[in-house]
Amino acid sequence: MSAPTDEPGLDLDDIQGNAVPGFLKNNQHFMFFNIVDASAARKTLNRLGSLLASAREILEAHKEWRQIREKLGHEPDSPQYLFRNLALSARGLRKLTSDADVDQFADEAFKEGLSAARSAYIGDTAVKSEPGHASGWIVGGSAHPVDGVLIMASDDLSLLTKEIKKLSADFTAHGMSIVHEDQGDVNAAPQAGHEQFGFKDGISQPAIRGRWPKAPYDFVISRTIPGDKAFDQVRADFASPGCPLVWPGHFLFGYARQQCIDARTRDDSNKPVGPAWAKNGSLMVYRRLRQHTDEFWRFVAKTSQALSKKYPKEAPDKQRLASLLIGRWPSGTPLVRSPSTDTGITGAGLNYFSYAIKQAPPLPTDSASNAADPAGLLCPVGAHIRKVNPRDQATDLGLADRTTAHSILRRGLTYDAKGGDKGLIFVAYQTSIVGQFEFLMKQWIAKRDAPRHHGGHDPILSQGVGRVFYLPIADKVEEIVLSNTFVVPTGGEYFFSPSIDFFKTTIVTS
Amino acid sequence: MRSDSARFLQRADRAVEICRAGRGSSETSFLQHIISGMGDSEFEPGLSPAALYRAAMSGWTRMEGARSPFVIVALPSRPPRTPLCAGDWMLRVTPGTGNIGHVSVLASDDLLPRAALRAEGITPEGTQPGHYGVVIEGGPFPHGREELFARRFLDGRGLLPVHAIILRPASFDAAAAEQSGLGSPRKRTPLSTREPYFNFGGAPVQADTEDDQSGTIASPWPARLDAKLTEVAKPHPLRAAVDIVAETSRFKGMTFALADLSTSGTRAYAGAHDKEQRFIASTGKLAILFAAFQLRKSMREAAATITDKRVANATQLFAAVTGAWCPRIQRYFHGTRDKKNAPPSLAQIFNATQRSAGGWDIDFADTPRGGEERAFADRLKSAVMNSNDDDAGSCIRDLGFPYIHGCLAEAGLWQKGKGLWIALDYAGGLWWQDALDDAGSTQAATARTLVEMLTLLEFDELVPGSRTEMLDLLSGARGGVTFGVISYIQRGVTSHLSNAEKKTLDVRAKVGYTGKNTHGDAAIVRHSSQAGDLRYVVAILNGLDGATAEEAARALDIALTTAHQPAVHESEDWHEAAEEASSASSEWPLIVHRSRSRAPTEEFEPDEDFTFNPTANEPGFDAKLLKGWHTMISDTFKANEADIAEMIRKGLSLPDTPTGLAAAKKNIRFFSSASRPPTIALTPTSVNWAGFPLGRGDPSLKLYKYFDALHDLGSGRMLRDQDEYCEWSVFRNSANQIVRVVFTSWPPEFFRFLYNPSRFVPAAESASIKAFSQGLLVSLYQKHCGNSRIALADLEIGAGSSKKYDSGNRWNTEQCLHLQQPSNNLGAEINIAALASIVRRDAAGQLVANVKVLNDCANRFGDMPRRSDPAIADAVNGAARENRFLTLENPVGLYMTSLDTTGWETPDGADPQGFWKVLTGTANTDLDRSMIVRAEYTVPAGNRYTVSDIKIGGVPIRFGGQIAEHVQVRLGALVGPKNTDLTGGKLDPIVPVPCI
Repeated sequence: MSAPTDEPGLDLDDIQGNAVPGFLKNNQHFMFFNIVDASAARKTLNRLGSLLASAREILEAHKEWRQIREKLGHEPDSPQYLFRNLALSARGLRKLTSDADVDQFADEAFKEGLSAARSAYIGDTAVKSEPGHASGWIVGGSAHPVDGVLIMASDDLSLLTKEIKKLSADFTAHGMSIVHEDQGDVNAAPQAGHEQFGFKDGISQPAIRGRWPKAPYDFVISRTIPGDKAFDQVRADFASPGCPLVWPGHFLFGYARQQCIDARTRDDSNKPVGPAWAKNGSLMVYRRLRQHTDEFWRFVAKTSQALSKKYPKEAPDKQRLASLLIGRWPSGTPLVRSPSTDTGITGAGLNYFSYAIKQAPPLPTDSASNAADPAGLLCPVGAHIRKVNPRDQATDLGLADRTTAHSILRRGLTYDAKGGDKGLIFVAYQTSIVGQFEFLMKQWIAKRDAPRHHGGHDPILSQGVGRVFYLPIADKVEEIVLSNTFVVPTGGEYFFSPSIDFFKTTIVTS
Repeated sequence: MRSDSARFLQRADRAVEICRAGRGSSETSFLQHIISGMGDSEFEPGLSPAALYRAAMSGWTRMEGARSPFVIVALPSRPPRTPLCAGDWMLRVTPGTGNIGHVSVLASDDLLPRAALRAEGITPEGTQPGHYGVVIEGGPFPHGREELFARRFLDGRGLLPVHAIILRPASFDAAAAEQSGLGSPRKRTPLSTREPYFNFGGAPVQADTEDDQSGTIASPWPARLDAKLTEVAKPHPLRAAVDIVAETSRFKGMTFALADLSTSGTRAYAGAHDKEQRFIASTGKLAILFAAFQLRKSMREAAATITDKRVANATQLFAAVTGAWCPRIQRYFHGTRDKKNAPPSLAQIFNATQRSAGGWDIDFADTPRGGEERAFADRLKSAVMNSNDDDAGSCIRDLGFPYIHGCLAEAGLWQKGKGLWIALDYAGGLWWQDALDDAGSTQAATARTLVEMLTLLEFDELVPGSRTEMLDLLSGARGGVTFGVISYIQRGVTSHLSNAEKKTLDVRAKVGYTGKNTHGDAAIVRHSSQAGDLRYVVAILNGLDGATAEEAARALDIALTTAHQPAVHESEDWHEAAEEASSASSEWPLIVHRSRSRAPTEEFEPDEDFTFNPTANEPGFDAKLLKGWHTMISDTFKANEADIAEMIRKGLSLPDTPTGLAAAKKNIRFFSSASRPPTIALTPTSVNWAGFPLGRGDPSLKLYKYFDALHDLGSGRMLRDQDEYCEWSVFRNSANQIVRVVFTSWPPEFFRFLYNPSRFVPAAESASIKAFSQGLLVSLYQKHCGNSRIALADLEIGAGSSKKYDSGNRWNTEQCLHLQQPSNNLGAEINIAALASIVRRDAAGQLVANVKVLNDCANRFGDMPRRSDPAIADAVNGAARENRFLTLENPVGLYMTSLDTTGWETPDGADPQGFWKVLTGTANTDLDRSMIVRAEYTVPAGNRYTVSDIKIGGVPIRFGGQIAEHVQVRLGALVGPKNTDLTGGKLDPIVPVPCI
């Protein structure tokens, strides 16, 4: 019996839980390894298969965690959760399966890997001598190729540390070598849950469509839009405010994607292409992004000062200018909803807004203002959150419905490796790196005139010379030259995060 | 084109001429004419288009045992099985109507997207996007090949519309017939479509003989009537007046009839296309008016002749009269058994009271009868005066079609298959369907018949003694009603009269319209004028819209007034004077000589200083050719402006009058710099997209292969199917490596214009300009294709008078000179921009910003799966929502701006950008100023590697589409400041049009 909906049942026991629904743990350890002895590695990874955290396990853990929090009235101190996920690069998969198998992936980027060429293609520097070039990365790139990554997550750091030690030894002893480790920590930034520049992060996420495969067939991702008839249209497109519903084929192999210009409808003829064993797997992008926070705030201060000379009355102060670059205030409050000051909107209203038309109807407990901002007068069209998520606005791709097909499930967190090396461990899941992560990087972040004409380059993530940001001010539009690069990649690779069954069965027979 | 289909098209054209000549203008007669030309005469004589459609759809079961004379080329909602070609027949039916059908013969081998038609001088049948073909067709609105009227054969996805089928005479293509597998050549059985019936379209209806049982009871029928019109010929001023209006391009396709009754004792008459049977919509309710009053007259006369004393009450009277009349009325029964095939329901219609002194008082019932909520008198008034369809339907049911048809036939208003005719009851009911074939339409008339009828009425000769009452029911035009009725004639005439003259105006009219090209009116008009009192009867049919019908009425009235002015036609040749006036304004032929008359278009006088330059500022144009190009682009803008004005007028429910149209125009934000030169600075902006189409999915190996190849897009030609206003051709060496990829965004209109600019240049200079432009065309081909032997003939398709420029010519297809995918053209660009500029609101009053919704509101202005169309629409509508004026940059075009080679690697480290070469147009570091229409990506021979050795993000270039993903295309626009008109004044807020 199938689920009583056109949204498919997701194979939650087979999908690794960091893709769906995401670990959401304070501490996440990324252990990068190379395969030295494929046969031994297969055995080890096969053994590890039964220890991987499934989507079901994560969903149930989250539910339990919320229940405990409700009982306690605060976040639990140290619940004994420990989650593991495994992902393999094309290089690693070729060792464990076959070239023929890997070549079945349609995604050229994954097969190519995040090489120096690919890195330059998506907007990283192509100049070897410059910071950020792939040849100088500490993990990935031409100098440090990677076969796989084991992600371990827990709120309990000591528990996590023990597990790292154990598995590290296990891997090393059985056909693999550890080439790099990153320690992600949501508390690595000055404020928990905020990225290094000081802005609340991870607010907007796409919500995968799909149900539990068995009765009562609940939605995997909870729907929180009010049930009133007035919200019918919003409910048809969003799981929760600002979190659009996206067909699972954009994140998981084996499922259908949306129809190209109708985000509400799935296209059963459009499924991700890969080997048969790719089902329930997902392509994972890992980027180690170093954030130059001092550089960022110096630029902001300098620019704010320059603007104040030209526009004594209207020039934004440092914090507001930084917020204009991001599109949100440090609290996460969107500029569209609070253009002048950081009013600290909390709850669902934090993400309840659109650009082409005023978001309506108002949420029951949300009294903050809401306005349409098609021309970017409240929040510049080039602000980071508008560059990567133009929401309801048409783009250079055409209809706004196309935007959801390019969304990614972000699962990153901050890190601080000391010595000034701090930033973001960017992790994103999708089924087309070319069409999703790389599309966002190359076609929207790195281009001045996309997704909207004359929006400017993404002031946070774009790199290189000749970049500009357009700031509407005093009935004019000021062109601000982005002379500095604030986010520099120091590592990265494209991985495939297979199904749990892949490790339990496929890897043994390969 | 095959010789057999060419001959067939000639035959079809002749059939149209026959229809026009009044020898049968119905759908069926046209079908019969073209069938007769197939050399296959075993069709049942009355075969209608709808019957043929049904036979085809049922697999020719009605032709059991016969070899099909047709091959089915396309079924409803399906793509054609083979490319369409000249001579194919499209049959369309109106669902639910039984036998209403239409046949069109495709007159050319290629179909064009709707947006491209205007530039070709082709009039499309509607606004829906899709692929249109020039047709030959008969029926009430016949079109010959030369008229360049196009019907929509395929929708935007290349599918045949529903309720349509395309057939190809099997004799055209024996091989195709073989493939059809539609039966073997056994004994043929004629199609049988209907039972025998009284043939209204055949011999004239004979007056009934006195063979009924009624004996002395008076006839139900009117006498044969004669309006005694005297048709005048040139140089009579009336003839000239009608001619000058009828020949105005704006009124092309309309029919006119005018009886000038101003001079006592004369009934001078002139008409234009006045004997053509045309659809008349509600004007057909005149038939109800006539039949009702005739019935009352006949009833009174019949009652007076009844001497039987057993007839003592109304019921007995009605029964007696019905019994006496039935045999006579039965002559007009049509063989059906439904209740509409019945004599009039006298008890429903009349009150009859016996006078004490003998005799009967009979009048229309003023109290409800037989389940009707309202009395016949009230319903008749509502049907005619208010044009209420439901009441018209109930009146028709009471009167019965046999009686109505009998009245029309007996009076001579319907004869020999022509004249006033109704067979739909206006309330959704269809009477005897097969009869429609003979009328040409369910509600039809010739303009002359209408004028004859109203002339008879004016002189109380129609139903003697009833003139006043009947005219009262036509008084809606003078404000005698509360709702529902307008009169184009009343409004058109009023619009140019002085206040004093307006007070004398009396118009009695019956208007009719259901949509585009159906706006008509028939009226009796009286008013004083500078030339004295005018009194005339006029019929104007098939106006494009209400405004056009009004303008025609106004023009006719002015012309008639002028014709009556002694000063004009005594001192000079009136016709010359009128033509001189006409030439002063291309829009408005007859107004400039009257000081108080003002053309609606005067506010948009062209700016002589502004010129639309050729796309990409092509330098080869001389001054005359440039002016022609300017005219073509300017006309396209104007046509689009007119379209959206009408859409806004309708959308805002503004009256179909010049005033209403003017009010609508206040909400237009799309403008032409030629018509309305701005005196304020406009801000240039662009809409950007990449050249690789996404309509078939995201880039993939499969799609790279698809787009690099040529495809049959429905025309039978192998063409590029790259539809983002950017097309490319890939050149490979013997090792299958790519050596060169050529890109173009050069619009097809540019080349079509060069091939034949005649329509846009003065006729006197047309030949010399055409010779020059064709020389330029050939030289461009020779230059860009690197072949000096290319001749004009290499670029043409067709033969003789059908010869025209071929976008799918070998050189363009191979060398990628200009856009050829049917959706890629300038017309589409302008059309999308114009339509998207209409600001809409939803049911909640919110402005609509979602392009998909806007597209639905606007009856579709582009292909939503494309990148470009929605992006253009979004930008345009966004500006209009902010109450900004906007237009397209000059020169109008779709331009490539750049190739993004970020992340590309060459084997020798050379800059991959260095291999991008602009061939036509200009590149600019400010991408918003780049105007590239042709470019190539190629590695010079000296580099010892090919394009295929270059990698994009580490992936070798194997297809042109990989490069196209990184070609940027733009549309340039100019946008005005918010809330500011084009002269810097304050602009009123825009009134959004409801999106229904």
